[in-house]
Amino acid sequence: MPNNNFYIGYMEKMPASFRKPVRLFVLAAAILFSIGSFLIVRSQQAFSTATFELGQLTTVEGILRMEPAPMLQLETGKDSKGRPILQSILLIGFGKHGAEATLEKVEAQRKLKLDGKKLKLEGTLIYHDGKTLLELTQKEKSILDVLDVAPLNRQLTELGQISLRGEIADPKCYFGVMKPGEGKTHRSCAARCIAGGIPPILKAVSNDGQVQYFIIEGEDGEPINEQVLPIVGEPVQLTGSVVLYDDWLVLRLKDANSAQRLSARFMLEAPMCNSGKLN
Amino acid sequence: MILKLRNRHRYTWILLAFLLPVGFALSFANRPGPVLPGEELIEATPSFSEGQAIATAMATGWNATLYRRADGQAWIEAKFTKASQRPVSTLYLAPRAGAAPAEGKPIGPVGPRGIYQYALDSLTASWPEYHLYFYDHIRRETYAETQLTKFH
Amino acid sequence: MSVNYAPILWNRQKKRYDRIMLGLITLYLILFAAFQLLFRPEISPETLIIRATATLAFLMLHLILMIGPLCRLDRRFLPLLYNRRHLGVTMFLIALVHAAFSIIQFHALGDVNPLVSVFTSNINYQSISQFPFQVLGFFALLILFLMAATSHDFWLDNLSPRIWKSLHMMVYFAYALLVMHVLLGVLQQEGYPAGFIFLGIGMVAVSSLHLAAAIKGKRQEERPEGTTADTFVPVCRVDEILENRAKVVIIRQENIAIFKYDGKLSAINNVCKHQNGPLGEGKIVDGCITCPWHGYQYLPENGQSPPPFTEKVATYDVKVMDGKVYVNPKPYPEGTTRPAAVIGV
Repeated sequence: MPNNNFYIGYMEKMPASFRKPVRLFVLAAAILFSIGSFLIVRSQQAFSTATFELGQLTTVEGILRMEPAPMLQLETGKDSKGRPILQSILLIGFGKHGAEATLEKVEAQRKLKLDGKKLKLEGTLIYHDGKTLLELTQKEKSILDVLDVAPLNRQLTELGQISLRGEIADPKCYFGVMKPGEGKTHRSCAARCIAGGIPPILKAVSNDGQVQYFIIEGEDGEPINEQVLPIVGEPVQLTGSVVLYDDWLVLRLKDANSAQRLSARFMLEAPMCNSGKLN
Repeated sequence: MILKLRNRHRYTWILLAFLLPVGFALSFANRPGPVLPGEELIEATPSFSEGQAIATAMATGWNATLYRRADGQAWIEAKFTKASQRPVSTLYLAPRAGAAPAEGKPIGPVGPRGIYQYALDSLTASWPEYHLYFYDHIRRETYAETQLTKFH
Repeated sequence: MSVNYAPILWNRQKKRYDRIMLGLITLYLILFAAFQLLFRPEISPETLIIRATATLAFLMLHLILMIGPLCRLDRRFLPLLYNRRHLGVTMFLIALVHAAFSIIQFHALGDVNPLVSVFTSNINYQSISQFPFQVLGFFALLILFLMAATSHDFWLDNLSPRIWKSLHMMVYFAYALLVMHVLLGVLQQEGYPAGFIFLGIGMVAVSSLHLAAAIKGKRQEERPEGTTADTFVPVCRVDEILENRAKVVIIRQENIAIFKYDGKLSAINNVCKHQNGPLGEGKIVDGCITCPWHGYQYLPENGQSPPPFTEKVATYDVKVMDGKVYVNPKPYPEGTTRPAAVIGV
């Protein structure tokens, strides 16, 4: 470097010999930012096409069912044998909460049981892959009307034992609120939602791309949200009996501790933590 | 920079040059495996078999075939390969194109990606033409109408 | 220099620096959002903000970490160092947006305090594939916060440059935490090799520059033997020192810069009082030794900043014999006037 060239920040102008490397650095940063943004965006996994109608309230009417989880049943027609076609909208609370607390408050306010009644609800729709959810966005104010109706029989079908590999997710995020709503980066949120009373679901995929979603319960249909928290958002194998509640499959785990964590891609950490147990 | 700090820089980077690649390798090797597809899902509806294909349709994200069995039982087998982007929807069959929603017959709900069989009654199965469409119960509108092409 | 503290002493170079920095940040955010909407339109707005700010802050951190060693490898990069603090504080603010959105998105509106949830929602600390990576990001942000909060010269002066520099060296620890935060978080989630390759390139670039600078620094260090604490030690020939420049030697742990100017030689301590910059890599401008980092100035004969400034460094005795320079490593109290050695006598 020539002796007569020296840079001081408070000088009016940068000496000529400093300009080239500094410009080179700025140019390199500009190229890095341009190409980097492109490559980073392109290297992401595709996002799901799920929808969360944030800011848009929709009114729906149907029969409230508290089993296996709070849901609103819509009779959308009669099939070829004259049986009602029932389609259920899973109900979810505001934020990371289940719908129970809101419904219980309304029961206390109105001094009546809501299970089996016809409800007019206003909330935010969440839907993806043939499943629909409604967030009770305005809490108790989401229940617009309660009507008495003749009891409607439920179609319960026992489908036997099964062992399934998949991932436990919270339906609120998975079916639309967040993208990605599954996997490692979403794990904490799924745990928070499930701890807050949103029913855990298992997503299982067959070899030919068929998908089934199961609400996870204990052996006698009791909620086991707390027990599944340690294994949400990671590949697991669950064994239990399946019951079809109208249009929702329910997987009843005989023993939450029987859930098996599927090992990582390589065996490195297997001896360290792959205990295969929940606790 | 004073000597102590300069030396600390030196040792820090010798340490990091060793530790960062170790962390990198461990993280790479322990990527959570992909959730493997299960070999078998639960059979949720009674399934029909040994029918003769009468008519079929291919659409983006789904296809459907109408079958009839020797005993006269007819059904539509639909395969949804792409996730539905609609809330509460039902599949309808109608005898002609552009039929009003009331003219069609609901044959069953739209569910997650998979194969579904929807039973038909004998009257519906003997229609001269078969048009499938979906009805979105939230927006109260039909979408994706498709004609089933008959086999000759 | 420090007489009183203004929030920021603006000058033309700083303004240009900040304009270029903000321009590049805007370029990145616009391109990222545009590519995202073009190639992955299904993304949710929250995820777009979380990912845009995360990747921008992490890229900026890489650039910030490269400036130091680049300057030691080639002094002509020094203008980048001059205002590096603004770059650092801006990077922290972008990282803060990422953290705030992530904590709200993943932890708020739940059954426990969001900050508690960061630490308790995933407790697989024993697992690599399920490690709670958000905790790593949290602690890295805490370090960046401490650095950003103490970035002003007020703190530099009150904490002493040595403690301040030590505190700010924690950026390397923050960088290591962030590398693991990215590896164990989004890269494991996405699973594609591409992300690992990008991060690998960044890691190699930053580490190799630092190692190269360390090796170069070590090679350049000259440590002539000093037999006792109070004897003259031969350093070099007079003509090895350029006019208005210095020769740096380390004798018995004394870091000494010997300047040549106006046919004279003077020796002062090599460490600037401001940020411990290397005075010996500076130059005599308007009769004052000027630090290459931020332009702090000292008079060669007494090591004092010209009035009204108050900084002082130690001085040493120098002599010239047979065209050779000798220095005595015994330091005089900071600001002591010592006669300059006259060349050619």
